[in-house]
Amino acid sequence: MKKDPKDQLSNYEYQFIGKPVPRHDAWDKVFGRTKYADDFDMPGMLFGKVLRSSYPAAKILSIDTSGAEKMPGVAAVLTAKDVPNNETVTRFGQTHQVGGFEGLYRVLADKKVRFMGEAVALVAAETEEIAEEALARIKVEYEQLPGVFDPLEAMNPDAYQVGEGDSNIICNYQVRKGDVKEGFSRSHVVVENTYRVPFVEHAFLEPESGIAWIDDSEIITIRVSTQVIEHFRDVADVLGIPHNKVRVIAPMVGGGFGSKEDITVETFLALLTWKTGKPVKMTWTREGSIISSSKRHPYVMKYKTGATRDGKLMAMEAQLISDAGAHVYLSPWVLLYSTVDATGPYDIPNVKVDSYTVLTNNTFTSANRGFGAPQVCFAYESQMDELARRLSLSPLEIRKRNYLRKGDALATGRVLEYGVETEKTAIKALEALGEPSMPSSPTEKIGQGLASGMMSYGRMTFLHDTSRSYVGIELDGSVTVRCGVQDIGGGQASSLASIAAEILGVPMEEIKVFIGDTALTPIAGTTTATRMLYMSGNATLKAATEVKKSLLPKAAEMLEASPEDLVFRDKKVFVRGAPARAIPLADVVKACAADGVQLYNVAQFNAPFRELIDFKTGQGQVFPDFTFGSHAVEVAVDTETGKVRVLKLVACYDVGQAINPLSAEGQIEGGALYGLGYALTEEVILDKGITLTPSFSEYLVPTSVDAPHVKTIMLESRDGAGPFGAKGIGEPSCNSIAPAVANAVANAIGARILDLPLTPEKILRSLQKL
Amino acid sequence: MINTRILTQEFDYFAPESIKQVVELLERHGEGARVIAGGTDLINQMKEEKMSPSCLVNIMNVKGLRYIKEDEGLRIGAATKLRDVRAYCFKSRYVALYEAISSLGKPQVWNMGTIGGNLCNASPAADTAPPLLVFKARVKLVGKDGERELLLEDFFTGVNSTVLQPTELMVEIHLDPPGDGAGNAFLKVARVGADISKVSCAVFLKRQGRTCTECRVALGAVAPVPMRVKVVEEMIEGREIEESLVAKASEIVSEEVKPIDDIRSSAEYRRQVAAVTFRDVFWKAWDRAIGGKN
Ligand SMILES: Cc1cc2nc3c(=O)[nH]c(=O)nc-3n(C[C@H](O)[C@H](O)[C@H](O)COP(=O)(O)OP(=O)(O)OC[C@H]3O[C@@H](n4cnc5c(N)ncnc54)[C@H](O)[C@@H]3O)c2cc1C
Repeated sequence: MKKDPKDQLSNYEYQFIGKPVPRHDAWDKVFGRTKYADDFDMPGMLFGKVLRSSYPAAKILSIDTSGAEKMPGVAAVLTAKDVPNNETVTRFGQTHQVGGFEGLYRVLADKKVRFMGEAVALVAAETEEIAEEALARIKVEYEQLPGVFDPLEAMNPDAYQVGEGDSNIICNYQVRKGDVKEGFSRSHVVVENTYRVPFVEHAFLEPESGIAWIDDSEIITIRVSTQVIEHFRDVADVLGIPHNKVRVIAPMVGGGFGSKEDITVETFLALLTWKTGKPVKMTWTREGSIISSSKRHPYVMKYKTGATRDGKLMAMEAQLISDAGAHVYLSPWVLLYSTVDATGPYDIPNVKVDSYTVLTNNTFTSANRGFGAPQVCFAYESQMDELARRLSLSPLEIRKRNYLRKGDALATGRVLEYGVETEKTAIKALEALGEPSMPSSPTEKIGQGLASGMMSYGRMTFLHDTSRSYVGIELDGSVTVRCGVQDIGGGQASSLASIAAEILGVPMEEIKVFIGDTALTPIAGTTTATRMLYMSGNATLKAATEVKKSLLPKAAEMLEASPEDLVFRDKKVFVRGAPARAIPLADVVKACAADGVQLYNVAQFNAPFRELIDFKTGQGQVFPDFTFGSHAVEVAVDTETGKVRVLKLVACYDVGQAINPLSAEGQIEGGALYGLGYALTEEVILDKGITLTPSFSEYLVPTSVDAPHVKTIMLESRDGAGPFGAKGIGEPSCNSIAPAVANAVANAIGARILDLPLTPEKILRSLQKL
Repeated sequence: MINTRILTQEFDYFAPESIKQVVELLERHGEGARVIAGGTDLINQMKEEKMSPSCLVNIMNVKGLRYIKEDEGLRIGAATKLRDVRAYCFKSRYVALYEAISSLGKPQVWNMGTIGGNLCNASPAADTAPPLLVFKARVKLVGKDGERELLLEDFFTGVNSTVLQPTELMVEIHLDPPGDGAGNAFLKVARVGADISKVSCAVFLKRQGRTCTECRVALGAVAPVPMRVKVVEEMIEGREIEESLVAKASEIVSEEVKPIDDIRSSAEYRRQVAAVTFRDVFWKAWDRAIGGKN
């Protein structure tokens, strides 16, 4: 990673923040020593398995479990009737714009099944083989129902009803600003297109997995690969026991990308261990995972955008329809993200957005890195390039004339109060891309593409998000952080260590961060929504600062200096300007302990609290802040085979402040590849609710041999809402890559493809060669 | 049961050390018995319940099944690992085979999988098949009724099916010596770097000056079995090579193949790209052919 010194405020005053340090857990992972969820066994444990529906839409007439129960080695067979509270109804706010804006969930299917992956029964047995055999002996009688698989069809009032409500439309939002009719009438060009994006799998390396047991004090303990340990509450509610009788521990997670945000194996494990009294382990197969876990939402997006002769955007009208699949889950919120982000990082005087999310009998969709932002980014950035082409402006020029800047308002009226460096990221990304390469054959065409994006970090402000962290200093000067974060591979734990190290002047090796345990670490909220650094980083910063404050008076007394003049560094306390006057930090701590000074602090950080926005006009604040950035890509398209090779890929994002630049760069590179799969190869194909791509032999993620070199340029505006001015980068880093690739391909072949992924077949078709 | 994490099936297992024992075991255990070499195809098929053998006979300990030697051409023991074949063929006169294996999976697969396994599994997309077909490979099979040898062309009978009898195993693959003035090449079109072919093609040819004196063309993943395209071979053999002739030949390739639509591609695309792939492989082989002057 190269930093451009011109662009950085220098980091000289920090010792740890902004310094590229290898993560404390890197070697363990490289050598396979890290114990992930499935690496943990217990004596006498049983193996849990899930029986899944045989049809995407059917009525359950009867379930006969006797055959399975009789098998030697089978400890439990559970169906809906065995679950104390099988039904949960989640309500989303007060709005009932259309249909029932609420989610009905059943732990195990009852009455009606809605998709192929739906759990119908659970088995625990002494071996995985017996458990498999037992599943085969459960007899379920179904009455097949027609089902509906296309969201547009499902919107018809007389369509098949997926759920038990009276409409498949889960919700609808609107954004209204100015008057689009007027805006289009004053536009010189108007571009109108319909874009489609597919279902996408998260494709983490570690499938859903966990083990549960009942500990000596009768606590149901679940060690599980999750992004949300706080699901302990939901698990307790299902069992009908007090919340404090369920404990969730999250070990290092082998990738989450949003799919481990919803409950996966937790409730199943809790039920089986509660029923059998024995430890139970459950790990899904890859196929089981792809068929039954959440997917990224497919969207159909109708966009109409108008601009004046000199490229100033006058109006944008968008209609977004997302396929929620069989259950509500996070679809309304994903849709809200798309709705707010629908106009991109642009200042547009007249805006009209209508968005819908609709139930179908497809696999359910929920959070996936980007949470509704990448879908619309593909659409609005394709629109921008089309406008540029029609107006004979360069892609950069038209964007420059329209980028939002700090202090400007989004279409929702929200004023951007933190750094907005989109223009700079676009310029830098294109600069780094350089001149187009020469084609390697006469039939190859080279193209370059640019796309900018914006995505929020931090949860929606009406959720009133909070996080807490404990920081304590030990008598030897080492530091303990306890914070209920889930580390899903992004370095979430390591960043907290950097922050504590910076404030208390203690080397990274002497900071121990305990994470992810609802019994032992303060609840820090979810590792989702690119919120962990923002929320728990701020909480840790606050707690560490308090600890330092409580040490200061004693240290000042011992050094005979005033507290303002003290510097904590290298496990010593110095007097500023007089490096010889120093005492070991441990001595200060011991002296404080003797005086009864509190040596720890638990701090809570609250995000801004707002109320629900007006869903008819979209006016209000939905997010704390946004991360802005750009991708520039160069591709070579073989016009005979339609194959796209990515020759160059530049990612330039304003990260506010990189806490650990190596981790931030890792996120940006990972995000680029994540988005590259979206652009070129990834698509979960469903045929009437049946997944045709259930393994990595059909579902294609780019591997190391497909990965181009990713050039990362990090801007640090130091103007974010996170600790030290950081912004969140985890999700935004994958936002604008697919449209950048699409724009590059369009630039190369002179034809635009409106739906992802950009397969060779589609490219040949658009060249009229197929 | 389908469980790709574990093998739920029960089966007998043997790891004999001689070909004779293998044949005896296959005979003793009848139809349900199956040879296993590297297992990179078979184990997956068992996990997915596409195969449920009652007995596995591992041939990796059998003496005399893993070798590569030059003896009237190239002789490769059927249980030779892809890794070893690949290493041997690098910069050899059989470079098309090196190219095919290089495109097949990645090192994990080369380290486990065998060349015999690739052929006996008889996938239409088996990547070693097109080069072996153009090298006029013969395969030697041994069974309870003794030994027989046949052309690889006659070995495949359909998708995942061959002439192998239940008590037979493949012991050797024998490639013709290429002779002077020969060139060969292989190319495959796939979706990502490590992937099953959408289309693959190998060409072997001999050249004298501007004349192509011998030509063999084979394609994979475009028909139920890896196929030779003899009409094209005949229209090229003995002719002066010009762009127009190769272009014409590639059109014929596109007409001759019998591809299907599947999750990896469409028949239409395969037809189109088969032509392009053939043309590129042909020119590669042509440029590599060393004999004669221009
Ligand atoms: C990740 C991955 C990627 C792959 N990519 C490719 C690819 O790109 N291209 C490709 O062509 N293949 C690919 N394969 C398939 C496979 O690796 C090859 O076909 C390999 O050569 C099979 O050899 P094996 O020794 O593992 O066969 P096995 O699995 O042991 O056997 C395969 C079949 O052949 C039979 N058999 C094996 N040896 C003999 C013998 N000597 N006599 C009689 N019968 C025998 C077995 O009974 C079985 O039916 C891939 C596999 C994996 C797992």
